[in-house]
Amino acid sequence: MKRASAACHDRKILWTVSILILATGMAAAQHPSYYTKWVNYTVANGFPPGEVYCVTVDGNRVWAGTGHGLVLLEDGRVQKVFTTKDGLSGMAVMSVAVDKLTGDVWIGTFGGLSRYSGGQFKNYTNLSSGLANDLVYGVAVQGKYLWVATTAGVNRLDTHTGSWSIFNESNAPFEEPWAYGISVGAEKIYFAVWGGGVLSYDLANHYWKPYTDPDGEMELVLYRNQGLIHNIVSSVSWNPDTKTFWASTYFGLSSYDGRNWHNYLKKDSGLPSNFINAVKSRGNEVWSCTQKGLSEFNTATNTWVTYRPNLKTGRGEILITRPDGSKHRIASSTTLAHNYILNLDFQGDDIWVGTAKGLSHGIRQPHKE
Amino acid sequence: MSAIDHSMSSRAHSNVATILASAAMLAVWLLPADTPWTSAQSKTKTAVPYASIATDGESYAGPGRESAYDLTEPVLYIGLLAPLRGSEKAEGNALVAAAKMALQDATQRPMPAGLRVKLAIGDESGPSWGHVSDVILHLVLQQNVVALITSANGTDAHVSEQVGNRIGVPILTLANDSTTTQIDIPWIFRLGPSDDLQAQIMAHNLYRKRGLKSVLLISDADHDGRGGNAAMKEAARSMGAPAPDELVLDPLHPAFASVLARIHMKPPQAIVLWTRADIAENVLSSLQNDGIHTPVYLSQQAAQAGSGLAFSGQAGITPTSVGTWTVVADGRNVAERESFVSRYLQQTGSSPSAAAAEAYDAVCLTVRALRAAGPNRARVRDHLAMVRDFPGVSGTITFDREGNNVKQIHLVALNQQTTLTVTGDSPK
Repeated sequence: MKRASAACHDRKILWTVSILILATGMAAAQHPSYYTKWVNYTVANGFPPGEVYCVTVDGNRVWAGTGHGLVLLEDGRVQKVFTTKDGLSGMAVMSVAVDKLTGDVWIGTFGGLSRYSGGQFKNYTNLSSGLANDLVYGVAVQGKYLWVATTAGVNRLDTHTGSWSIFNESNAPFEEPWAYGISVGAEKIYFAVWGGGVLSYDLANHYWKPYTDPDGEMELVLYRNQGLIHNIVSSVSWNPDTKTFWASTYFGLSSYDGRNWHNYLKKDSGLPSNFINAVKSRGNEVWSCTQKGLSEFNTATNTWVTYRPNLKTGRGEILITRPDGSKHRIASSTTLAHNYILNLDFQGDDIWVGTAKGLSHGIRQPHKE
Repeated sequence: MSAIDHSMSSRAHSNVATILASAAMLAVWLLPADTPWTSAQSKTKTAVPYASIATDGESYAGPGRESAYDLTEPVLYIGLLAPLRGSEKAEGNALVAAAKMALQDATQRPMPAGLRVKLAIGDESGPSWGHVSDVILHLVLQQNVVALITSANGTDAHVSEQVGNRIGVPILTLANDSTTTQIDIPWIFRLGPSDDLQAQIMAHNLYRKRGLKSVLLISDADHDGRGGNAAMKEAARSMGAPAPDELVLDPLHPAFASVLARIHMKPPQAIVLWTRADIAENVLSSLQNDGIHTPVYLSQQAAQAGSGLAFSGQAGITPTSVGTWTVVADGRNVAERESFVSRYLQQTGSSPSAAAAEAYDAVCLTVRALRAAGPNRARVRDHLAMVRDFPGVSGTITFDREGNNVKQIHLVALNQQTTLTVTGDSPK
C-alpha cells in the first residue's frame, strides 16, 4: 500500500512539474524576452567620451576600443583605461581579439598593432615590422596565426615564428586592398573589404575567393537577391551554426549560405537603416549595428527587433517587425547609450554594445505586454 | 612617390608655367568649347533597379553635433594633403599656394568668437601608403583638423574617406575617382568632375561630334588610371562606339617608347591620356618630338600643374581640330575667377590648374562652414552638405546628397597653337 501510495504521490509530483514546465513555457511564449535592462558606461560615470568602436568579450572581461584608448572591464566594472602612455600603439582602437590559448590580447589601432601580454604592450608598426599599414581596422586569432585587416591589405602573423605574410592585390583577388574586418570560420576566413566586397580564404587549400556586387553599380541594387548588395563592406560575420556569412554594408545587409544570397534593406525588412557599421551572427540571431539603432533579426521566426533610445524623450523603444510586416512598439525604461551603433559582442545571453556615446550592457528579460 | 625623372617634369613646368596670361584662361573658362555636361547626363541608363541611393539613401544620423564635440584648441586647422616632393611636386605646390591664398581671403573678415584658422599641410608624396596613412592620422588625430582636403590622388582620397567615416571628419577631395562619392558615405565631398563625367563628355566629342572610330586610350596602371580606363571604355560602350585601344603604363617605369611604337603601328585618330601629369607631359613631349599631330584629350588629373600645359586662348573653339583638350567647369562667377587667376599668376608666376582652383574653393567653403557652424566637425559637415550655388573660382558648386559637385563641365583647349608647346623654351 505504502509503495502504491508513494507511486501515486510520485505521479502527482511528475504531473505537477510537467504542468508547471508547460505553463512556464506557455508564459514564455506569450511573453517573449527582450533586452529591456540596459547599463550604460558613459562620460557620466567615468568612461572615455565619444565612440566605442569595438567590443570583445573574454569570459568575465570586456574589452572596449574607444577614441581615447582601450578600456578593460571586469565583472561589469571599469578596471583600467589603457592609452599610448601605457604603451598602446594608438589612441583610436578599432579592434580587439583575444588568443584563448595564450591569453594574449591583440589590439588594432589607428597607429599600428599592439599585443598586450603579461601586463606589457608590444607594438608593431609599418616601419618596425611586417605590418602592411598603421591603419588597422580588424584583428582575429586563428590557431597560431593572427590575421590583421589594414588599409593596405591583409597581414598574417605566425605568432610562433614571428614571420609576416601580406595579401593584397598583388597576390590575392583584392579589387581594392582596403580591408575593414575579419571573421574566422573553421574552414575559411572571411574579410570585409571597402570597395572590394567579401573575400574568403580557404585554410586547407590556400585559395582566395571574392564575392562582389554582381550588378557592378555603386549607386543601385539591380535585383533584390542578386548577390552581395554592395562592394563597400563594413564588416563580415561567419555563423558556424547556420553555415552562413553575413556582410554589412552602408547600403544594406547580405547573407550567403553557400547556395543562396539574401539581401535586406530598410524598405523590405525591419532594418531601421541601410547604413550598417557592423554585423554579428550566432544561432538564429543576426545583429546589425546601424546608424539608427541596434537590430536583431531572428532567422527562425523572421522577426526583427530594433533597440534604440528615443532621441526626444530619452526613453527606450523596442520596435518589433513581424513576418507579415506588422509593427509593434514597446517602451523600455532603460536603453542604449546612443542610437548610432558601432559594434557588439555576446556574453552568454547578455550583449555588450559599442555606441557613439559609450558602452551599453544589455540584459534580456521576459516582457509582459 | 615614384622614380620618374625629376628633371623632365621640372623642365616642362618652368617652360610653360609662366607663359600664359590669366586673361586667356579666363576666356577659356568663360566660353565653353563644347556642350556643357552635368553629372545627371552621365548616369547610365539601366532597367528600373530594385533600390537606389537616390531613392533609398538616407541622411547622416550619427553623433557629434553637440557642443561637447566642439574642437577646443585656440587655433583651428584645415588639413591639406598634397604631394610636396617627387614627380607631382608642381601640383602639390600649386595646391598649397591656392589654399594659402584662399585662407587669407576667407579670413580677412574676423572669424566669430575670435577663432583663428590655419592650414595644416601634410606631404602625401612618400615611399609607400604607410607614409600617407601616417600623415592622414597625424592631421586627423594629432592636429585635430576640422576638415581634410585631399589632392587629386584617388587612392589617398579613399583612405582619407575611410578614416573620416570612422572618426567623423569632413573630407573635401579634389580626386576625380567616381567611386568616392557613389554611395552616401556622409563625410566626403568631391569638388572636381568625376571620371565618369569626364569620360562621357570626351566620348561624346570623340564619337558623336567627330565620328571617330579609332581612339587610343593611354592610362596608368594605378588606381586612378584603372578608374579612368574603365570610365572611358564604359562611355564608349554607352555611345555604341568601338572600344578604344588600350595602352597601360607602369607609373613607376613608364615605357614612353612603347607609346610611339604603338602609335606608329596603328595610328589612332585621337588619343586619350588618363595618367599622372608628369607622365602626360612626357607622352606629349614624345608625340611632339616625333612629329605626331593627333588630337589629344587629357583627364583633369593629367592636365594638372606638372603636365607642362596651361589653359590657352582658344576659347570657344569647338574641339574638332588637332589640339590638346581637357575638361573644366562652367564659366560663371567672372569676378571671382578673374581676381583669383590674376592674383595667383602674380604670386606664383604660373596659371592655376583646375585642381588649384578647387583647392582654393575647398578652403573657402570650409571657412564659410566654420563661420556658420563653429568649431565642430559634424556641424561643418552638415553645412558643407547644404552648399548650393556657391560662386567658386573653379565653377559654381552645388553638392548633391552623395557629395558630388553637380556643376556643368565642358572641353577646353590647352595649347595656343595647333602644335604642342609643352617643351618649348618660349611661348609660341
